[in-house]
Amino acid sequence: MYGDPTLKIEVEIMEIITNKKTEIIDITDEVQGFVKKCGVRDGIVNIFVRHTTAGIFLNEKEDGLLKDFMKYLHKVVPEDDEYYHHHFFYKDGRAAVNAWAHIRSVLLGHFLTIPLKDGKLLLGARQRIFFTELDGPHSREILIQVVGD
Amino acid sequence: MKGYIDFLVYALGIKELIAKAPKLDEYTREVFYLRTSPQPLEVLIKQMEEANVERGILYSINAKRSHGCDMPGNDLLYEIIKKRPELFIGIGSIDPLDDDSLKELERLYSNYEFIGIFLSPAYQLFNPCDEKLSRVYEFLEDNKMLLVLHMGLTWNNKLPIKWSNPLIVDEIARKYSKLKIVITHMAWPWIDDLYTVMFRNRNVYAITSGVFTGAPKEHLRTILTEGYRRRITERFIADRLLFGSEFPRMEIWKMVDAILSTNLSENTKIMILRDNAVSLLTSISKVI
Repeated sequence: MYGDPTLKIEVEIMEIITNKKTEIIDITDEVQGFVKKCGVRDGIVNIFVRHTTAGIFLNEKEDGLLKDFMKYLHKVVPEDDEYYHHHFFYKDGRAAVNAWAHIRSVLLGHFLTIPLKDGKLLLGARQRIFFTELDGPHSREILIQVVGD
Repeated sequence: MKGYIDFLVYALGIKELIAKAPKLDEYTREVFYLRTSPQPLEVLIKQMEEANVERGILYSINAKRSHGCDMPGNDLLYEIIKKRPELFIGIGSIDPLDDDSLKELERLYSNYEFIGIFLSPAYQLFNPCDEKLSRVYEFLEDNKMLLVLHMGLTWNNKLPIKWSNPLIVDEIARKYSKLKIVITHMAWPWIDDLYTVMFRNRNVYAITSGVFTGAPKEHLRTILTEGYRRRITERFIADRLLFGSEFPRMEIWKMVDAILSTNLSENTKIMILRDNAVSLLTSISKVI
């Protein structure tokens, strides 16, 4: 395994500009496209969201369900509440006013690992990969790492 | 026109401008004191869309004499406005103490069709009542250009705030009674002083920008509606308040939501978000 000449590690940073305050974006095809480009057949794919007010998750792509996700995220972590985070940050030069987005992103999580076989993501029949914007519009970076041979 | 007008958008933290003037990132961090990651222009446009803002008034700050920098400079500002003239309107900046400031002012007026200039006593280190500024004020008044004055708290704690209390504007507003003067940030924390100046001078306006005391909804609720402030907002100055987000220091939709969520009348909210800006721009012959 060590120094295995056939083991590849390929990384790409996917950049997107989101359109709304909150948004759920299916990035499954883009991830699969990068896997195909790298030519790795068997291994794993790590997907890492490099932000603290965005998240990533796997689930079914159904419009009503996607609305439910957002609705319940808002219900569980409402915007209108008193948050200790909401004060001026000298290191940023602006007020922090999005504690709810940070907390929602923790609930969703920031990374996924998906097994890969014969060049295909081994997702379940109803599983899709969803990047979630929680404080947009914003430009965002999603790191995709493919490890295998 | 159905959408809102954002009367305070700084043309800073924009990737395309930094690509043309790389030191602009350093100036934004160290002088303007904004330390978040630059974003593409598209993010500003999408933020405007998300917030139902149809027009953004974009600003530059000339801090050459005081800090050796232009943020981003009138020429770069003009480039952005030219790219999307249906979205953006320009307010440039000059060094008010520079002997050549009138020449630059004429250029901004004739060549760039900027609707006014932005001056910041804190960033540019000058007293607005300095006699040297009279020729600037006369030009603005004669040519129906706006004077936007940065008043209120400045986050960069290395800058002076002795000229940032709006009471200093009273003398200028009285002497140049046809000059339309716009004060930023509701001059927080000197809001009662702002009221004083606005009560005495019908040519003084204020932008509801700046978030100093909590989240946008918390802050704007406090300064526009708590205690006697709601009476003042509704009955005394409703027609001279202008919505401003202070992007990129704050996301535009958060500030729009903050206005909409107050218990001001629906009519006053729309006046702040749109109608007052339309009237003001029309009065200086800027058709939108």
